[in-house]
Amino acid sequence: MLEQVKDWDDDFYEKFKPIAMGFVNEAEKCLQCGKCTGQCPAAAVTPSYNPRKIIRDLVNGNLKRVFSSVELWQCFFCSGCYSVCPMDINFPFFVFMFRLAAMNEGYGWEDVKQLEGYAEKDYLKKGITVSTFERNPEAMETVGDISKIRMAAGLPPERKVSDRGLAEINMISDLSGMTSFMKKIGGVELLDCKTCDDAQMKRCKNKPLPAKVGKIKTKLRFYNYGEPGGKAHAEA
Amino acid sequence: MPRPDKVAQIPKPEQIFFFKSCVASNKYPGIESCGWDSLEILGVQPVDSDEQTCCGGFVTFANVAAPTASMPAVARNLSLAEEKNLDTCVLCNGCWTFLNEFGHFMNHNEEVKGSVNMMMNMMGREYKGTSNVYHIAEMYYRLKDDIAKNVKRPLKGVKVATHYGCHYLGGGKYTAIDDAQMPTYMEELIEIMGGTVVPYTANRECCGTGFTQIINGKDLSLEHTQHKLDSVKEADPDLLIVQCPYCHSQLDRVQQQLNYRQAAAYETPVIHITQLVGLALGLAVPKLAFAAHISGRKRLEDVLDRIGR
Amino acid sequence: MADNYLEAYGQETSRDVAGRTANYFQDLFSLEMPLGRMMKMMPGMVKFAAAGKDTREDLFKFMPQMMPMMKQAFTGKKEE
Repeated sequence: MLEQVKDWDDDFYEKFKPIAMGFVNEAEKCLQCGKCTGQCPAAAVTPSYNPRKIIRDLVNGNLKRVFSSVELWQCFFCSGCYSVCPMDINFPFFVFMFRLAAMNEGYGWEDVKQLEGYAEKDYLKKGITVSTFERNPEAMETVGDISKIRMAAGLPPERKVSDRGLAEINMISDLSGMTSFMKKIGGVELLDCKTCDDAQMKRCKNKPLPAKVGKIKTKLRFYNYGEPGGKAHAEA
Repeated sequence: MPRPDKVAQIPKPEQIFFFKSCVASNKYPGIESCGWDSLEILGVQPVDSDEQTCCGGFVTFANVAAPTASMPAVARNLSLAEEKNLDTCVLCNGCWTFLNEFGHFMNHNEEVKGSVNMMMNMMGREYKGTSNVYHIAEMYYRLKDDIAKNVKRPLKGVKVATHYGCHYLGGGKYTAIDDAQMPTYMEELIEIMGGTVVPYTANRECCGTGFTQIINGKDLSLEHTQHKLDSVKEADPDLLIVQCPYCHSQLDRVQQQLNYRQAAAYETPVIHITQLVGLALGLAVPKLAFAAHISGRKRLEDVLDRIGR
Repeated sequence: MADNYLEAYGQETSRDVAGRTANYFQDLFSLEMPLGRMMKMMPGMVKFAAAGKDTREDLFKFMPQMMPMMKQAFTGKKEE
């Protein structure tokens, strides 16, 4: 099946701008100069990632291609594109917004699911997003007990946020819809390599594949902007 | 070159609200203790609050939190400083951009500010938008004369390379004190403290954390960091200075991971600008908390031996 | 299993996707306070009030401000 240009919604961007309250703007001024891609750290390691093409597709309204792409989730959020952009397009905000839109379409939940713990266990329970927990046993061995180092440096053994502070961020979370949003993420279950079937295996790029659990239906993303490059795919 | 007009706008206050960072507190406590003590030595009394939480930038940009939750979280943290009538000093590039950008957005959008303030009023707070947010590196640059006066442990013969990180210069290209492509203020600070600046090719490249890529796209992240580390290794500095705890954690920890995965030999100590200033201002060695660092521990000890403990 | 995104979307065009996305963001960033949204906020406020003495006092201080909003949400009319 071929897609036709008349299927694209080129009014979408104009409609979207007032909704986003000026947060996502200036993209219609894009010169397609490609400076963003030239200095992009993600584009340096995977050639299929290309901010210029993503901006073009957003302005032209080729939304299916953007939302279903893996590339939307490869941004490093380094703001380098914004710093070189002659028209001041803040592309990281676009990525942020359209990742939400892609999630609304059912893509990318497996990535977000892996990060849920930071919000649920650390940010909302302790008020601090990065905890003292070490994933890497070797790092733990080298550093040892962080509370001892903190005490030697003249700090309290553990940084604590007061109960009042915690109650406040929890209320913000409840009132602004963050809690219900996180419940949705909690409904996603990841498949591991043992349970995935042949068709899924064929498309697998060593990422946990999505599964349908609860109300969320996660879909498979595609490399819509070219073949993935980089060392990881060099042999394939 | 730093912009003199921007630098002149930074005040030299008697007190400042000290905004703690998650990574600095829980992984590299030296950043917190050195930041606090060095500001005290330079004549600015830091003030903190235990009601201060994380800035919320990570959960927001990781798309775990709905974006509607981020504005009140920023407003809440800034209102803590406003209650004390102080400006805010942050340790982390991420906190700086997030507080600055979202605060700026609320200040210029009365409707959003109103709805955020409704939520603030429920917990007896109000966001007015009067507290400015400054990065500790720009505070140091503003106070560079005081630093020069107070150097107790000159960094004589120490080769230092810099890594500015993305979110301070790139994310705030109109609000930061320096140019996004060729910043030099950290080099100036190093020379004031008596160190030797070592240039390297990949200076302005991202550290490779990629915000969430270190968790979701580890291949991409490690590949980019390795590129950066190769360039650093070629220049062979004694210390690599960062101004963001998140870059700090990436550049420090990934060296060990690469050494393990590829039998490479990356051994460059990474330290934060607060720790470098603390080192030069003569803080006691336990205060610097180098025990929490992972890579290049031996070289770090050598540096300490050379310039005196 | 679909091989590319066009197959995955089937008959849907980008216009349908755009409509859905616009509605989603409209809901997300809406500053209005209809009854449904007000009710959704209640559990959070109750939790906050139960967290401690000082939080309860602060929340009760806010109550006079909230009454007109509640009225507006119930009647659906804006009071002048």
